Amino acid sequence: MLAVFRKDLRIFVRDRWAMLFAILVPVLVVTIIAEALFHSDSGPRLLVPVVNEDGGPVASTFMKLLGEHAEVREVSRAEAVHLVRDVNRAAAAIAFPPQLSKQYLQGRSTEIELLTDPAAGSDLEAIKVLLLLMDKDAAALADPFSEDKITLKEKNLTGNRLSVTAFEQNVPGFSLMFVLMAVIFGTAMSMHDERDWGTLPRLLVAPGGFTRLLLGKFGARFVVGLVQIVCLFLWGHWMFRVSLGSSPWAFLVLALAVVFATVAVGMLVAGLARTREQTLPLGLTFVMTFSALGGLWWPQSIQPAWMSRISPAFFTTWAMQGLNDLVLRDRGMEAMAVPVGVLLAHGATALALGFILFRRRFSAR
Amino acid sequence: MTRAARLGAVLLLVAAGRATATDAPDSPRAVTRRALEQSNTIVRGSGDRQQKLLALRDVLRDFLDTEALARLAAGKHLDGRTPEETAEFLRLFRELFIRTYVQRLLLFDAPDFTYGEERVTGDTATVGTEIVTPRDRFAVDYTLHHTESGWRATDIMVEQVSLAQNFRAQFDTALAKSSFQDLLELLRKKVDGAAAAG
Repeated sequence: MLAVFRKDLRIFVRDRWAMLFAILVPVLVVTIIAEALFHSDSGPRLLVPVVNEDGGPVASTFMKLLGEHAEVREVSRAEAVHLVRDVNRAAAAIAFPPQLSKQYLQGRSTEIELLTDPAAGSDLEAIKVLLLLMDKDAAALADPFSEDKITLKEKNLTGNRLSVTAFEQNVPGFSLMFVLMAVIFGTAMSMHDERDWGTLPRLLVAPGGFTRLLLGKFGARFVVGLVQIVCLFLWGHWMFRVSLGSSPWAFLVLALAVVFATVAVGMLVAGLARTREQTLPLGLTFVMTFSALGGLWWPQSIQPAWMSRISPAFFTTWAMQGLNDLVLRDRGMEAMAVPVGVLLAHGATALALGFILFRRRFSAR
Repeated sequence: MTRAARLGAVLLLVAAGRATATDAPDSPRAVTRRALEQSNTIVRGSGDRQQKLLALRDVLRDFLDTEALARLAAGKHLDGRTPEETAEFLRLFRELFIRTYVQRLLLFDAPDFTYGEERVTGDTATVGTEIVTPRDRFAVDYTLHHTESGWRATDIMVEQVSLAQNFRAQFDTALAKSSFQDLLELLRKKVDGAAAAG
């Protein structure tokens, strides 16, 4: 027993990189989770664009009240729509109608428009809470009983529904995480399996050479990954009524780009890991980091500012942007250009790096 | 502001100035002007919201005849009430009305008032005023009644809507669903809540 104990310990200690990764991974992942969920940096204040068509004292008072909790920016209606619908910088914009002040001072109720992006989830809820606070303060100024002077009319700028389900907010992210796990580990492990099984030298001397070997492996993992992602989302659609967007083609194009980038990162992990033992902690590092910073576990808006700044460097951010546009915003092919383009660029870079590293490490052996 | 609007504002100010110069010190317009200018000084002055509320309440208590306002707002609902119930209603209404009016005044950061026509018919007078903001004007007309202590406001029309009628509509709705005691309880809660909120 002691001999087995010493042997296993010696094997573990011998691979210093594997040992280092085994210690670093949990430290890194715990740090990212703690920073994202419990950070003291409050991050950028919630942006609330306000269309002030009233221009009177009541709208000014409401804007002051909102300004105590959020970054209130007075904009034109077109700019508000742009911030909410086109660039998704704000979860909602508030439009104070003309005559708000006069009607309020007359004691008549007024309808305030809330132009929303339901895909923004928690940020939209936060804005609604702010409006409730504002309404409470407004009621304090009101006559004895007419406390319902403000009614809210919600208008979704990014789709047809006023709300999205919790499943639709969570299922895509977690599905993507499992695809990451399966594909990155599958790809990276399979490269080292060939070496451990002794089939790598035979494959390398086979006609076609090293590049074709890697492309063949890439192709196989790509097909497996594509089947996984399609199956997971079909399951989510059937089981949890998660929308797949209005265009199946747009979903397919996005799925192809996501799997391409994921397999490419798997190749990069395979290239970085010197041994099979290193693949596990290194793969975990990639999966956890890309999941956390890409917004697969929580909305990126809750992250501290520094995380939001670096998150575009992770392809998962763009994958989630594309998925949110499809699932939560009912967008079609026209919205896929940017996320798919960035995913392909990330994938191509990771693939090239993976090829170079793997070739250097194994083709000479 | 356009040139025409600027000219209009200047003419209004001139008219208002001339009116003041010729107004008798106890005329309805002079009384209204005095109350509003004192209010304006308080609104624009230093001090926190609570201090301003208290100061404005003192000014308006002399200007507003809240008992007349309360009777106008309550209408037939005060008929047959005991003297205690009526007194309690008048007390609560006075607190609430002044507070509501003051809070509305405080909505305007730095209000500018202009004074229009004064129409006197016997013991009753109407004084038209406007609150001028950079982007809009708000018509506020005061109905005054001559009492032993001089002219006092018995109703305020904001953009042609009477505050007393507004209160009356709310009282009618409330009393259609509940008793007078319930109404007093509601008013008490509102007054206490407003006092706590400042």
